Amino acid sequence: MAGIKVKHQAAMVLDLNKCMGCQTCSIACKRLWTREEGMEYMWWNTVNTQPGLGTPKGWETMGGGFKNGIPQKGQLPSIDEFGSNWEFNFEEVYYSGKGQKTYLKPNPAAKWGMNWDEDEGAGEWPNSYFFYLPRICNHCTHPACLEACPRKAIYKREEDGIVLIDQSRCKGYRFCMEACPYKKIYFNEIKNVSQKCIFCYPRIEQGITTACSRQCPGRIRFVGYLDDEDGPIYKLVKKWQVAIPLHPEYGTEPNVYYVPPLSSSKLDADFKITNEPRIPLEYLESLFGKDVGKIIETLKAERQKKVDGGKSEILDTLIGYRWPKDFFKIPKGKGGVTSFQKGTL
Amino acid sequence: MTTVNTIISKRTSYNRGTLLDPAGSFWEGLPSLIITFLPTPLGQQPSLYVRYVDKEFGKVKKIDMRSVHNGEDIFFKLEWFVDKPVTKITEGTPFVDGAGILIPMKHDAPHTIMVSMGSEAYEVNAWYWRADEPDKPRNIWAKGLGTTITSKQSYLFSKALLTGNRWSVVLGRKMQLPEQQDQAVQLVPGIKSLISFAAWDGANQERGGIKAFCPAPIELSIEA
Ligand code: SF4
Ligand code: SF4
Repeated sequence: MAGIKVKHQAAMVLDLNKCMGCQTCSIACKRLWTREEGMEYMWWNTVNTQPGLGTPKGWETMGGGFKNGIPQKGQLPSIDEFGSNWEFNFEEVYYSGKGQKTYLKPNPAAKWGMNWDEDEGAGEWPNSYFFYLPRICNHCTHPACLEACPRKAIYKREEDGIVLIDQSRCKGYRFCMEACPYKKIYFNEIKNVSQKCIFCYPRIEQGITTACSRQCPGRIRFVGYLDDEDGPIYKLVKKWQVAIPLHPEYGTEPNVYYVPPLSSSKLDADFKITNEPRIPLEYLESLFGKDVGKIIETLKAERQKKVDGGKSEILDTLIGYRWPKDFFKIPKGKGGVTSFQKGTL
Repeated sequence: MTTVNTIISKRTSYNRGTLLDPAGSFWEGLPSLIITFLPTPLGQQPSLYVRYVDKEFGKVKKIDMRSVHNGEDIFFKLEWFVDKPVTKITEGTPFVDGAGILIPMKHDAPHTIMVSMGSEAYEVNAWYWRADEPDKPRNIWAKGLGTTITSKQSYLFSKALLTGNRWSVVLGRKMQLPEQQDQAVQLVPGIKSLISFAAWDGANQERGGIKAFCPAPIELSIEA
């Protein structure tokens, strides 16, 4: 099966040079969508430190996606691998008189969490390095999740390409969770259904951007339609080609794009600044593919233009002087409200 | 058609409470039919991903089956072994054991639709039992692979017993269900119908179409 054709594709560009790992996006999403019973451990939006094992733990080694168009076997991530909802011993510390003897801690002991390896990164001092990588469902053009579902419970909306799981058709088989190479689907044990990021479609239908992008203090996220030539998405992805998907080799054609992170420079033995980047290019290539080096060079050259007092449309777009106008361009949808009323999550 | 195994649903005068008990001694006196299972053919799976399942599945090799009715209610007792019973979704066991009975909505349905979970012309009714809700069986109907719909209300009853590695499950229902005409097969003493069975080994992550089933025709004959 080839990619699914849609009228317009809603898409997101995230400038990794601006992300500060504050998790405001994760909380914005959590507050809005995953507060019900059975959803406690879900973080449809996650922000992980790279290099790192991320969430679910070691997701990049869990398989799924396509190789030469052929579906690849994937592993089913467990709640412990995502990081369970930690229960704390509030009762013991605050109300049992043991406050002086014990301390607040997760009980049972926590094994992993959605930002467990935060700020660890890699490299040796003084050349250690890391950057943040926020992730949501990529609302792929060739969604492995959709193809894996034997019940056709997953669909990609024609009007905006948003990928949704019809909660009334899902039987909780979780083939989608195995097949999604980004491991961005969660299982609700209470409702016995799979659930994931919905690209805030009820907001998109009203012409309002997603919660994660609207709340982002770093203003790293751009949202709009991929084919809107006047919008920032088209310009960054198609025209200037400075935003690329994560793990393009997974074969699902994601619609979330990243402006790769520029790196600070390595210091030599005398603590002199060298020309070598701290983030190895090979590492970035392992995440974003071979084109990433070219993009880094473009970004550096554009930055230099500004340093030299010149103009750079690319940098101006990435900086975004007018908030939220420069960041989101979402026309109000027609009749989309029906799908919300249908009870689809 | 090749030889058809026949299950005779014997008429008795016991009441529902007695018949629903998988440990009830009267079950021993009933003739049993051993139904041999095979893994479902992967080529039939509606999803290419599922067709690429690389491990062995269809772990339940056979079930032992008995049936009885009292003129009003009909019961099936299914018994089978699993290597490691799973009764609850937990961290290490994401899927639970299950079993199902399949009966076509129309008594003259051809055997081919039993393998395809029904067709447009011949819908099927499935009685689905799951180990994590052992006394809440679900009523399902379908008209082809991947089309199953679970009824909002289930009029089925069940009781399960796990002895070591052996499941004994009794599934029953009122034979006539005027309140669920469209979604539940209507049965009467004296009729013959096709019937089939399936089992899911939870420990082996079996779910959906990944299961053990009986490809050979089985006839249900309800004693008049
Ligand atoms: S990221 Fe995963 S869940 Fe989202 S559309 Fe792609 S394959 Fe499906
Ligand atoms: S809210 Fe923005 S800056 Fe903060 S972690 Fe999320 S994407 Fe990064």
